[in-house]
Parts: sequence; structure tokens; C-alpha cells
Amino acid sequence: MDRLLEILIIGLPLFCFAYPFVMAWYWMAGGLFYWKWREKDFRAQTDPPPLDRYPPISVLVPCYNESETAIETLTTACAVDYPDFEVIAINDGSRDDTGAILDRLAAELPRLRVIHLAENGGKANALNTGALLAHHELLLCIDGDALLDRHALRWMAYNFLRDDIGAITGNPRIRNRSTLLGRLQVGEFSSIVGLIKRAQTAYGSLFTVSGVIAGFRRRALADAGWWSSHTLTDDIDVTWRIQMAGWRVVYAPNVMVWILMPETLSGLWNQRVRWAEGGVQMMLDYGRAMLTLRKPRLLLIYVNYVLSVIWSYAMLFGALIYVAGRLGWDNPAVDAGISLVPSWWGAVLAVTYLMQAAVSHLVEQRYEKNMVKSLYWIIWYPLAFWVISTLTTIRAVPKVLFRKPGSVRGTWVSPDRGFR
Amino acid sequence: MTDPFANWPPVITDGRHSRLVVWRDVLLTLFMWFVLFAILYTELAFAAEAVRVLLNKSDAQIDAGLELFVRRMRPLMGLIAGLVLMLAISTLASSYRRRRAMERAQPTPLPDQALADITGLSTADLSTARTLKRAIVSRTGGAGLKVEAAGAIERDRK
Repeated sequence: MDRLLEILIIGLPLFCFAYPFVMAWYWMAGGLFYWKWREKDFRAQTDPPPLDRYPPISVLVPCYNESETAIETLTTACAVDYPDFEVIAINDGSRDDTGAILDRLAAELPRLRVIHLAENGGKANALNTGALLAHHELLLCIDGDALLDRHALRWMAYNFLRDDIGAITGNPRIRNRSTLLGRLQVGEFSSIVGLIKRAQTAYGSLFTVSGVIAGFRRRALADAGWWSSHTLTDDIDVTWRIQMAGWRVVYAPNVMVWILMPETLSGLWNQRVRWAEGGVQMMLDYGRAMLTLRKPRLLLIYVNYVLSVIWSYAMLFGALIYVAGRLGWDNPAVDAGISLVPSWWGAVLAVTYLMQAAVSHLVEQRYEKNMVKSLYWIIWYPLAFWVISTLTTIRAVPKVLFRKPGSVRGTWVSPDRGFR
Repeated sequence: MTDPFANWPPVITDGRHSRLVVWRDVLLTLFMWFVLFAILYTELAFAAEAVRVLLNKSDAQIDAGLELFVRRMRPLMGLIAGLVLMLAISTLASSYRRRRAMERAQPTPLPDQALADITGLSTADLSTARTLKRAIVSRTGGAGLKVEAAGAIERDRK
């Protein structure tokens, strides 16, 4: 028992260092492989390649209480540069005047169709209705407060025509950057999220599409059983089901959308808890399938997520051991020289993290000028975001584990859209 | 209608904040950089000295526990090398799979009949529903849909 405790006390803090260190190098290598393999040969994002044909696309925009943002979102979506597309706004029983705004816009925008759902049923239900009533096989789903890039549909068609993929995940860019939290997320989305998605695409499987911009083949959705209303995060769930159904999902960095993110700590906390809950739910839902090796390619993505959850608890455990040591409890971790105060481990991790940020910004430069400026704010990421990510995961695990069966129903969250 | 892309990218950098808040954020972040370098000062100084020793520019005797650290790091470096090698092979496999996919025909679209079966509508009704500029959709039990033209309902109400 004492031996086990000793191994835990020494091993877990070591794991606290090893996991982010190893993964940072893995993401960097994956990001560079993807860049070398695909990205460097892309034309400029603003100059999509001409195609032999332009498959028609339906853009689905589920809306719930979007009166503040619907006009901007839909006028932008209807004005994108693409020969054949429709935009479908699905009003999921909004309580504000979203319905009236959509009706007015439908009269003004020839490409816009409006579907009013008689009852509020959640985002997954709204997307399913839109997908079933859409004219076209290719679907691009964006949030009701997101601004689609002018060239997004041309790049989406390029990706789907040159591959037999089931879905793509686009490249969300943060709009609101007037606060520290906003600026931090600019760095996070480019240096962390973008690099991870590149590495996962190079590897061959994705953990999740971004719900704010994801393109689908309707056949793949049908094979996967459509979006589920009984999940906490419909995007993680649908990504896994599409891949389990045998389709591939890839990152398409040229398919861009501009999004609003939380700029208050409580808004950020709520968002990250929801993301963490979705991840933990996926971990539980697919545990058996992974153990029986039904989709071996997804195993590494799954194991990585499980390790990230263990890492969060290891961080908590490490912090407790450290505090106990400071309070006078003589324990082997302190004897072994393992401490929360960085020494060589911390120095190497810090340098590795800064290198990761630099590599990702180098890769991301083609999508946004002056990205290098956001490196200044990146210092907060390991100091603040790792803490948030750790705490939200620690919070999410018991929440999901002890939830009553059948109590999950995908519903709308009231987003913090930052300061505008 | 004005061009929505006239002011692009639609970045918001002037939220409802005073300049004081902006400067606070800048200075706080600068402070965090200093904190980072202060925490790592000893290690950075040792590393710099070690480099000088390697270049024969110093004969300082360094004992900063670096040897033990490097020994402990070795298995991790091996793990990273293994993972990166696996990733390189996966990348080549993904590339090969993509090239093969480009040679094949595109997957066929989901037929309207399949969609009609899911929605509980006939294919003719499904086609009609798609032509509605504004529609009201309700569930008819299960996944079945009932689709009505919004304008017609509003007229009936009047």
C-alpha cells in the first residue's frame, strides 16, 4: 500500500509534466506535417481555386433568440461568393423577436428560406429539420451569431470535391478582441485548436468538428443517425458517430467563419464546462467500442482524451501533494525534488509551449495578417487557461457520471458574446 | 443593400472599455512575462552557463541537477520520437487514402425517397416544402414532420 502510494505520489506529478510536454511536440510535428503535406500548396485564402463544377450547398443557420445578431449573420451568409447555394434559418421557437426579423429578412434576401419550428426542441433538432428540408446534399452549418467568410463555400466545395470525406470542420476566427479574455482566445484558437486539428487531420481522425462551422455530406449524416438531441455537445457526438460509420472528417482551414466568444470569466467557465462535459460523455459513450477495437484509428484520439482527463486529476493531486509538503507533511514527492514551482521541468515545458505558439502562428499567418501580435498575450494561456481547463474537467467528470439516465436533452445555452 | 464584406475582417477591438482597462491588460500581461522569466531565472542562467562551458568559454563547475533531469527526460524523448514517427506514417497513409479517393467517383447523394421516409412526407410534399420561403414545421410523433406555409397560416389567423 505504501509502495503504491509512493508510486502515485512520484508518478502523477511526473505525468503532469510529461503529458503536455509530449503532446506539445506531437501537435507541433502534426501541424508541420499537415502544412507540408497540404497547406503550403493551397492558394491564398482570398483566391480559391476554380473548380470544374460547383456543387450546390445549403447553409443551415439554427437560431434561438438571435435578434441581436440574425441580421448581420444572414445578410453576410447570403452575400458570400458562390454560384449555387441557399441559406436556411431555422427558428427554434425563439422567445424574442427573432421570428419577425427572419420573416422580414426572407422578404429582402432571395437566397434565404426561413423555417419556424412550432416548438423549441434544441439545436440538434433544429439542425436535423434544416438538413431534412434542405435542397442540397452538401450542408454547411454555422451558428446564428457567426459571420461566414466570403470565400468559405468555394473552399468547402474544393474540399468535398477532392475527397470522399463525410464532414469538414472549418476555421473559426475570434471577432471580439477588446479584452484580455478575447485576445487570449485569439491565441488559443490559432496556437492550440488549429494546431491540434491539423495534427489530427494528418493522423486521419478528428476529435470534434467546431459546431460553429462544420460542413457535412447529408449521406454521412444519415449513416451516422443525424444529430442527437440526447447529448451535451452535438458537435463532438456527431463527429464520433460519422467516423464510427466509416466516414472521414478533416480540418479545412480555408473555410473560415468569424465568431463571438465569451469575454467574462463566468461566460468562459460555463462554455468550457459544457465542452468538458461533452468530452467526458463521449469518453463514456465510446469506451466499449474502443476497447473492442471497432475503429482502431480512433483509439489514439480516444486515449489522448482519457489521458487529458487523468492529467487534470493528476494536476489536482500534484497541487495537493505540494500544499501538503509545504504544510510539513514529509512525502516522497517532495523528497524526489518534484515541485509545482518550475525547475528544469518547468523551464523545458515553458520553452516548449512558446515554441508551439510560435510554430502555430507561423502556420496561421496566411489566414490573418498581424497574427504575431497575439503572441504577446499567449503567456496567459499556460497560466490561466490550463487552470480553467483542469478545473472544468474536474467539475465535468462527476457531473456526467452522476447524471440521471435520460436527463440529457440538447438545449440552447445563453452565450456570452463578449463586449461589442 | 450595403456590402457586408466592406469592412472585413469583422474584428471588434474597441469594445465598451476605457483606455485604462486596455493599459491595465497590457501591463498585467507584461508583468506575467516578467513572472515567467523570474521563476525560470535560475534554470535559464544555468543553461546559459552550460552553453558557455560547452563552447569552452567558461570553466565553471555546474551542478544544477541537469544530468539527473536529462536522464529522466530520455524515455520521454523516445516516446516523442515514436509518436512522431507514427504520425509521419499516418500522414503518408492519409495522403495515399486521399489520392485514392480523388480517383473514385463522389459518393451518391442521399435520395429524396430516403428523406421523405424519415420526414413522413411524400417526395412530392417534400419538394413542395422545400419551395416554401417561410414555413412552419411541427413534429407529428417520432421523426415525422408537418410542414405548412407560414403565410397561409397567418392569413387563416386573420
